[in-house]
Amino acid sequence: MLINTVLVFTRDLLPLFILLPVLLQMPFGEKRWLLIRTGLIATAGMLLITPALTAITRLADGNGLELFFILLLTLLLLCLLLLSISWRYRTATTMLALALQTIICAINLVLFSLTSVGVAGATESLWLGAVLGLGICSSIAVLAYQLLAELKRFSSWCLGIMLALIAARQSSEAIGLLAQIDVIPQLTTLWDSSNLLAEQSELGVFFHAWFGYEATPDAIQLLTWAGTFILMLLIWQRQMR
Amino acid sequence: MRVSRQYLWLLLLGSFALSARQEFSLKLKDHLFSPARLTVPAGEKIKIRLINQDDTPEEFESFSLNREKVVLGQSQAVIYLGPLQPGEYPFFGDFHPDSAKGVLIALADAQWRAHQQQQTENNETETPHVD
Repeated sequence: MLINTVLVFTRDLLPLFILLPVLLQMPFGEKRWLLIRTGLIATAGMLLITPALTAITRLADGNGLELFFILLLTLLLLCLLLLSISWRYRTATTMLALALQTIICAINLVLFSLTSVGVAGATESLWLGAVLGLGICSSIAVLAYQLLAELKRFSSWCLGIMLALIAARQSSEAIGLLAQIDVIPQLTTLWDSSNLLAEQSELGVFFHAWFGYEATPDAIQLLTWAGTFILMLLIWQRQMR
Repeated sequence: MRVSRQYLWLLLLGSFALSARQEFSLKLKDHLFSPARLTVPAGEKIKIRLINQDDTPEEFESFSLNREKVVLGQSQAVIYLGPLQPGEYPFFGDFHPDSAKGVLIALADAQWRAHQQQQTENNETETPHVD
């Protein structure tokens, strides 16, 4: 139970703790207040969503959660696009992007935490696993922040590429969910790289959280990923001029 | 005009029938999938009704199928799949990966027909004879 809890928390929190250091590289005045306000927005959002989670999940023949995630991922993608287009509203856009990513992570963790209800000793494992998962993700975030700060000195493109990779992940995730609920067709997988890098491996989980690595992608997913990545880079290039 | 409208309806019904998915049932009880080896036809669109008979939620996860679906306790969810290539696709319950494990076996057309025939024969043998 404990090992699985650590794995679930690490895997579900990683996208947030990868997005956070990237967005904090943006030129802000007071980062502490930005984080506090983001935390408040995310908490308010979760207080509204959690009581309705069961109803959301059962919507549209049990596809409600997927539809809700698609909405959140699309909003997050729009925030990242806005950030690349203009830094004028960067504080508000960053807060919203971080709050949306926090809500996506938190919904998964709330659902997972329900598995410990009524199970002897599970609550302790859940808390311990949460702390360990949070610790692992925080370490990765600190390392990523320092690395980006160094790389940013050489080229501002590092930030643009990171944003583009994260945005591409959001669009690829949303497309995957649309295929899952049968809104778009599921095409034949283009390749299977699970022998080279399995999605369930440590690196596979990290790459999936970072840029949406899929060992068995289909053409729609790949095209959406590539389209978003190129679009984000083109917008970034325009802003850098 | 009426004839063309009738053709349109027939076309719509025909396309609906073609797109109709065969449904398979996968139960989850005591954090165990049943059947643990689910056989389905390859090359067809199918749907799997996941029935969670446990009180806690579970997440159906399969890396090879690219599917990740949460089903709440005492609830059902539908997983849309296919057309699949013939082969084996492992899946597991993400919240209880030690116990909730299974494999989806997609059979090619000839193998699928043979499998169905065998299933029918087994059912006939198992049915008690009443005089």
